[in-house]
Amino acid sequence: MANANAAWHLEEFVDSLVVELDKTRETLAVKAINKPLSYTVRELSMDLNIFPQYDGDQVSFVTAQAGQHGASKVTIQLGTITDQQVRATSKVTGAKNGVELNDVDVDKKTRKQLRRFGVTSADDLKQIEQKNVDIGKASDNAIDYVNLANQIEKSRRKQQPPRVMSASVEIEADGPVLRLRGENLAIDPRFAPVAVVDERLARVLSSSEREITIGLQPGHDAPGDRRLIVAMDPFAVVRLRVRGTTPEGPAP
Amino acid sequence: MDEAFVSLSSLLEALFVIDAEFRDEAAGVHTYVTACEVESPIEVDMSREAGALRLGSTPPLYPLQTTFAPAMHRVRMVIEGTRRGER
Repeated sequence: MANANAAWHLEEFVDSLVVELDKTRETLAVKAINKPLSYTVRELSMDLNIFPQYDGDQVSFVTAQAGQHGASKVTIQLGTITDQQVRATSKVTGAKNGVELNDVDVDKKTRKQLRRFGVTSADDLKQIEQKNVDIGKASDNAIDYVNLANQIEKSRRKQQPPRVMSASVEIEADGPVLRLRGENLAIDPRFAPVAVVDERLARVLSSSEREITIGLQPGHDAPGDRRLIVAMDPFAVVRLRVRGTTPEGPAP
Repeated sequence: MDEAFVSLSSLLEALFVIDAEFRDEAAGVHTYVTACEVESPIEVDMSREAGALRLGSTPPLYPLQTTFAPAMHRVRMVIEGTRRGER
């Protein structure tokens, strides 16, 4: 061997092995096209002589090279399973609106601690919470649950960002209102949107996923720019500059 | 990856050449390989290409006793044939 073997983690080794195995299976499938039998891989195992290393954070392995003695042996065996068995024994990943912890902005220490608990998604964390387990205590306060929950909510909101498609001033019986229309506006029923028009708190009259109606104060419906800030929930705040127009055209 | 090595999938494909078909025209019998198991010592070369781990392998290269013995690992693969339409 010309070069020293690269150190590897078990997870990436298994990934590489699966890729190689998939290629083999594809080749076998092509070979079987003109044959009465089709061949499938039922089992693959590898015995590797390795030297484990632990850096205080992760275990990695270096494969033994020529002349090296005293290596440990690890056996990796890939078996076969039917798709029905996979459905029955695996948790669903990539579910709609699901949040993987890898996508959440949390520090390395917290992520490592969560992986130790087998928590890889927001749903895993929710299940732990439902069983009344204090994850903060269980981790010797290494995990700040409140901060983590906020980060998860933030990531979830990022998947459904608010889109304001139109803003219009309309005159209603109680006075002028500013109506925002769009998508994913007020999607969390736990929070009532808060609006500020020209640095003055305004009353939000109604809110939904597609529409937010804000009551305007006298003078707000006059032509000119309005600076509008709407906090739809703690993780979605939009800032808009709305220009009023007169029937004759844009305000000067 | 070292030039003496090939990807593990290439090695496995080369180990499983099971195109043989035994025909006895007189008796009207065809015999096919229905299962095959190969176990072999291999040398392994782990390298990184664009951050991804590449798994290189080769069967024992030299039938010689050398001062520094190569580190031998072992691979075992079982393949099974099924008739079309059967599972």
